Amino acid sequence: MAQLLAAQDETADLFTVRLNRQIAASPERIFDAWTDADALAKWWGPKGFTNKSAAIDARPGGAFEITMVSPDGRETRMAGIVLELDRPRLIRLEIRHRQFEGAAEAPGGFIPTHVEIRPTEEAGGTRLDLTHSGFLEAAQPAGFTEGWQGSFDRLETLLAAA
Amino acid sequence: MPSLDAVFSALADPVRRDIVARLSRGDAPVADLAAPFDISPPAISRHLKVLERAGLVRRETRAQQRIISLRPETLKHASDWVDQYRVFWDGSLDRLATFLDGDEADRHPTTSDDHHSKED
Repeated sequence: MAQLLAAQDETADLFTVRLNRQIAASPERIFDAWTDADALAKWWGPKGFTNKSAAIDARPGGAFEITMVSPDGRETRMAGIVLELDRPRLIRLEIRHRQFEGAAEAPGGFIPTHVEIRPTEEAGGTRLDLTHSGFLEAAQPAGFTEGWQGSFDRLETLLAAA
Repeated sequence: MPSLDAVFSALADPVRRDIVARLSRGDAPVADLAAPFDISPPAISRHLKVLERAGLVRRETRAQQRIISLRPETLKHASDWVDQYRVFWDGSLDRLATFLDGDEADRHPTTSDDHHSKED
């Protein structure tokens, strides 16, 4: 892996998720599947997962929150806000909480990362491009994460004392 | 293993990413690493300290030269963390495709002239 890094941008690319899919449906139906809570509850999450709850306020600034249940019964919550919607071309989400396994050491555990979904019509259906980025940006500047973590620690202490 | 926060913070800087990219092609003396940048030796030294603290590089002295080498295992540890999302989205998009397929069938129940169904 390391030998492939020719430039700093490629180092950054190690920390950006880019995927695409051909889907036999119109861009509109794909867009709607991302912005409708009932639909999200049916498909969100990897194979074997189910969703205990899903909610989305499908407008810029609106919140979304999904609680998944893994095949072995563990609950995982993903939440954030809708940044931008342009049916059917673009959906941008900010993911603010992630609670994957090992999340205790998640970099910038409370700092947002960005997911961009672009459905584009093509012969026989739609090409969906997904980009999940911002992991490195979320970590900068160095002191910022620690600062927020400190604030959350204090908030917790405050709430515990109340 | 150093904290992922330290690794991600270290890599959030373009100069440090460039140093990592150069080291991925082989070990290098400090002076060589500093050459492409228009910044002072103390500044380069600070960047190297950040990378070293994050566990991304190590320094050693060979033939009286200070040599910097990459610790790819740390880079991999951090990119593996991001890869959890790759796995997550990959699986989710599979299910999205399946869901829309089923949805289509629900909306358009099979009729007698619907023989030419999709191959994929």
